Parts: sequence; C-alpha cells; structure tokens
Amino acid sequence: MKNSKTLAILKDNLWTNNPIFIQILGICSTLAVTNNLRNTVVMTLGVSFATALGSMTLSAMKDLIPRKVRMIIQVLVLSFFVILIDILLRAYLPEVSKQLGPYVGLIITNCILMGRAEAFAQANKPLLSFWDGLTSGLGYMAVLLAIAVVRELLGFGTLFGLRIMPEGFVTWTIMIMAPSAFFLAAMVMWWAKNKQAARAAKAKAPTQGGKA
Amino acid sequence: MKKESLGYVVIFTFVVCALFVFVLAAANQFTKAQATANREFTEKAAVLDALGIAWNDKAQAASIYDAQVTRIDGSSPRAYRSTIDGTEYLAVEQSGAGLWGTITIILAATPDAGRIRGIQLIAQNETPGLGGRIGEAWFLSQFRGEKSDGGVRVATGAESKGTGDTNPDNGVLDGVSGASRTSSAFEAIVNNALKRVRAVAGGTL
Amino acid sequence: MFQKQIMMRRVLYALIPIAALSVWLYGPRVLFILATSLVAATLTEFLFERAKGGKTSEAVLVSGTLLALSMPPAAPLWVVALASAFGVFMAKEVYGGFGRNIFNPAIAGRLFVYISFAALMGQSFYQPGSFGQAAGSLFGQPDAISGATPLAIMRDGGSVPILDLLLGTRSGAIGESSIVLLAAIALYLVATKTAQWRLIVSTLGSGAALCIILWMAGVPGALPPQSLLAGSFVFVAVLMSTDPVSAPKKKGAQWAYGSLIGASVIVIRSFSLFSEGTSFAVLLGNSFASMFDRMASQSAQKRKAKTEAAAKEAGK
Repeated sequence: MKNSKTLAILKDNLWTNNPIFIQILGICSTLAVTNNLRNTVVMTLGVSFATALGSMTLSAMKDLIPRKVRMIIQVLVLSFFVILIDILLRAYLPEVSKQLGPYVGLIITNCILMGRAEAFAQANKPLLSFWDGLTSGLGYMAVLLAIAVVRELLGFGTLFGLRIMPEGFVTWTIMIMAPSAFFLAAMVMWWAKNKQAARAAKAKAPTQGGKA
Repeated sequence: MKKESLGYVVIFTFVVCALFVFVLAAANQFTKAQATANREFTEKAAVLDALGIAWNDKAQAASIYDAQVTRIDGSSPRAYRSTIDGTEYLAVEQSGAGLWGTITIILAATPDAGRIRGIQLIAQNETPGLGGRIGEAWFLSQFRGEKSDGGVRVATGAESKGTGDTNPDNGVLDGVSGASRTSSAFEAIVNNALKRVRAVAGGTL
Repeated sequence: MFQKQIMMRRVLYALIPIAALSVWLYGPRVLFILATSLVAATLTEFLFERAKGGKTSEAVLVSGTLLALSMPPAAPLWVVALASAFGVFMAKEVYGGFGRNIFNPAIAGRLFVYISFAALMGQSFYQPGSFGQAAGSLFGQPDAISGATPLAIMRDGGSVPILDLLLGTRSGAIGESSIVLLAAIALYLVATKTAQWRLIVSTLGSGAALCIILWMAGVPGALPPQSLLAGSFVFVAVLMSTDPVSAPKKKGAQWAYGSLIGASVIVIRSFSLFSEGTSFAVLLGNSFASMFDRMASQSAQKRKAKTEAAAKEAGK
C-alpha cells in the first residue's frame, strides 16, 4: 500500500501532474537558466533539494504552525534552505557558485517550492513530503534538461561546454535568448498534453466503444 | 496555550525565526574560513592571470604570488605591483556599471599605461551567452599586449568580427556580437582602469 | 490539393511582377529562394493539415512568397527553408491553421531567422542589377558582398539618389525595393478589394508624419524623410499590414492598427540598435489587432445605444 502511493507520487510529479507542463510553475527559471546545461543541472538540483527538505521540515512541524502565519513560516523555512545551499556552494564549490551568481538566490522565487508546501506538505507525513518535493524537482529537471539540450546545442553548438556541432555550424542567437524557451516550453506542453489526451482516449475506448 | 491565540502565534514565530537564523549563522560561521580562503585564492589567481604569470595549483599560486606580487598598502580599490623579467607592472582592480550589474576586472599594465599586460574578469552579471561572453578566453586574451596609451576602443556592430582582434598596436578590440551595450561598458571600465594605473604610478592611491 | 481562395490568388498575381523584377535585380538565385520557401511552407502546412484532416490553404503560397521576397538576396537556402517552416508552424498551424492565426506567418518566420542569424543575414545583401551580374556573379553567392543598404547609409549620415529608391535599383531584401511597382500593386489590390486601403493609408501616413516631425525637430537619430522610401516600409504597408487574417476588421480599428505599425517602424528605426523595424512593428500591431476590433465594436454599440435612447426620448 505504502509502496504504491510512493510510485503514484512519482508518476504524478514526473508526468500526469508535471510542475512545468501541467501546473505551469517555475516558468521564470525555465526561461532564465536553460540556455546552458551546466547551470540548468545545478539550478534544478538546487530546486529539488530545497523543495524536498523544505517540504519535509514543514510537514514535520505542520501541527505546530498557526494558520495565521502559515505562509510566513513557509517562506522562512524555504528561504532557510536556499540560503544554506548558497552558503555551502560558496564554501565548497566556489566555481559553481560564481557561475550561478544570482540564480541560487532566485530558487526561492520558484513557485514549485511554495506550491508543494501548500498543496502537499500541509496534509502529509514528512517522509512522503520529502519524496513529493524531490520528485517534483525531478519532473522540473527533466523538462528543463530537455529544453537546455536543444538551446545549448543550437545556441552554442555545445553540450555541457563540449563542442558537438561541426566547425562551420552557424549558432542560433535566438536560442541563447529567453524567447526561445517560450517556444520550446510551449512545444513540450503541446507534446505532453497530446500524449496524455491520446492515452486517456485509449483508456476510455474499451468501455465506451459502442457510443463513439 | 491555544494554537490560534495571539500569544502563541507571536512566540511560535519568534522561536522558529530565532532557530532557523541561528542555524544559518552557525553554518555561515563554520564555512567562513573556507569561503575566505576561496576568495583570497580567487583574488591571487586573478592577479597572477592578469599579470600573465603561470601557476599550476592552489599552493603554488599562493607561493608565486607571495614571491612576485606586492599589494600596494593603503590602495583602495586594490592595486598591486609586480616585476616580471626585470620590467615593472601595475595591476589595479576596477569596477563599473555593466548592462545588468557591476562588472569588476583586474587590469595589469605598464606603469605609464602605455601597454596592457592582461585583464582578468572578477565578477559580472551580464546576460548569459551574450554579454556574459566577456568572460571567455578569446575576448579577454585579445587585450594581452594591446597598445593603450590613447585608451582602448571596443568595436561593436558590423565593425567587430566577434572573434578577437589580432593587431596589438591599434588599440581596438572586438566586442561581443549581440552585446554592444556590455561591450561599451567594458571599454569604459578598461579605460578607467588605465587612468587609475597612471594615477597609482604617480603616487595617488 | 489546395483550398481555392480567390483573394489569395489575386495577391499571388500581384506578386509576380515583383518576383520578375527581383530576378533581374539579383539573378536566378531569387528563383531558388522562392522555390525553397514555397516548398517548405506548403509541406509544413500539408503535414499538419493532413494530421488534422483539413485542407491546405492557398494562403500558404502567399506567406511563402512574401517570406522569400523579404529575405536578403544571398540568404542561404537552409535559412530560407527554416524561416518558412517556422513561420507556418509556429505562427499559423499551432493557432489552428488558416483564419485563426494572430501573427503574420511570413513576418514571424523572417524575424526568427533575422534574430537568430543576425550577422549572416546582415552580410547577405548585394548590389542589384543585370540579373545579379552587377555584383559579379550570375549564380550562387556573389563575390562582393556589399552590406550597405540605403537605411544603413542614411544612418551614417549619407544619402541615396531618390530615383534609385523609387525604381528599386538599390541593395535590400529581394522584393522590397521598387516603390513604383509597389504603388501599382497597391492600386490593383485596393481596386479588386483584396486589400483594405485604410490599412495602407494609415500605416504610410502615420509613419511619414512621425518621421517628418522627428526630422524637423532635429531629434538625434532621426532619419531624413526620404528614408521612408528605403528599407521595407512601403513593402510592409502594402503587403504585410493588409493581411486579411491578422489585421483587424472594423474601420476604426484598422486606422488604429495602421497608425501603430507606421509609428512603431519610425520609433524603432530612429531610436533602437536595429536599422530596420518593420517586422517588429507588424508583430506589435498583430498582437493589438483583436483588441482594437473589440474596442471599435464596443464603441459602436455604445453609440447605437445612445442614438436609440435619443430616438426613444424624441418619440415620447
């Protein structure tokens, strides 16, 4: 029983209720960091950890939090983890910290964090909330990585900074700029919704076959 | 005490804030030495890079720095003096406004600011992939050995090939294509740094 | 295979002289660009419509032709194909195909490649004349690429003979240059009720007015009035702002739409880093089109209600 719920959450956050293409959360960072795979990886890892740990902490103390200050406490706890990540990066991964610069602080503006805290951690057990936060982050990561692969490949001709495209390749400037993420995110949403609609239609078909 | 009563809310909020801030402060304190060491190493490495002195690892960078570079006392922002193969060079830290935030560089040049020895980028927040490319090697390395007694000019628009200027005697460098505002900002910062070099050589700190 | 559309056919007829002139100006290469653009556009629409079970519209031929005519003459064919496919896909098919698109597909495709490959496109202009031989080569990439379009020359304070501007013997995008020809086309399109004269007049009028005001006021960066004949301003006013799908339908809305496009062109030309702003201006206009329509019909309703109320009053 427990196991099936864990799996259900995983599937929900990665596919049926993906934060990017279904809930449309965390779009700002999708636009900002996806022109470069390395930044995307660190950013999405940061979001995954902050959401997982934040959700777990908030779930553990949910019975103590008065309704009136619920949101304030949520912001406090989430920003705590974001600042912690920033401090740790600065001390132990100075290069990455320098590269990401303001983006680490911007994790807190990611709607997924508050979204999971409000929608899930409030009503569930700490471990399950941790899992929910983590898988939400992974669902976010999967989409961002897909977009970043296209943008870095066409925009710079590289992947993770390694040259992939041949010498004469003309880079697509628009892929480096934020607007291209709009196109690509929209295409991902379109693809996913189509896929889900097709599957839903298929699942319905056997029972309602006669009516169609 | 009731969970929704005013007293509870105030005390709870206070305690939670105090607790989390305390942990953050502790984490900050705990990593402070490491973070400072990182910063110092970054600074020393940047000065060495600007001066064009090769180094292999952290420890070596520190010992070379101590042997060859002296920080000029009382200089603010920082200025450094170094002698390489019998020639004296000055290096200065210079900040200025970029397109989105402050750009900070270290520039090394002859004391009369007649020729740039090298430039190293310390901090920038320019658009990744556009203005942010001022941190790339092709951009910074074209400054190496550039004649600069009349200041330098970073070409923008159609004039810039966007691949790096190869003539060290024209005082003109290639801007980043698609980022003319950042390129112009960088030009202003370099020229201010050159002025500062002359000022430091003249004894103004 | 195609859905028959009389209006779109008329636009296509009107574009034939431009295409013919541009072959003389830039050589047979133009035909390859035209063919590439048409094939890419039609194929994109065909694939999508087949999946949906719809018909390929003849409008896609107009989009493909207009896109080809708005390319610089030495544009690589893969860029043309990409622009054409992107325009039809992102600006037309995702909105549901013909009649439902908010943005002009030709402009969207053109802008996509102009932003992506700014440097490449900027170097793809060459001197016109004698089937491309003026630039030194009959086929393919000419040897001497001269990037100085009249707008760029004027920006640097130079001047261009007015006769060249009128006849179109000056460097620029393939189909934008001949003002005389464009004027004739405008007359034909208006006479056959294919294009709305209000859209053409308001676009040209507001652009001209703003340009002259800025020039007279001596605003730094303002271009001389003859710049109105340069670049793609007239081309866009006659053929792009009049697109029946993406332009508004109500009278008042059409005036507002044209004025917005015309004024934006001049503002972008005078004050931005881009030397040409017509594509941005049209997209900007497109995004306001349905709002203008709505405002026009609302104010019409209000007026109607008022007169009815007045009539009632009088009837008492």
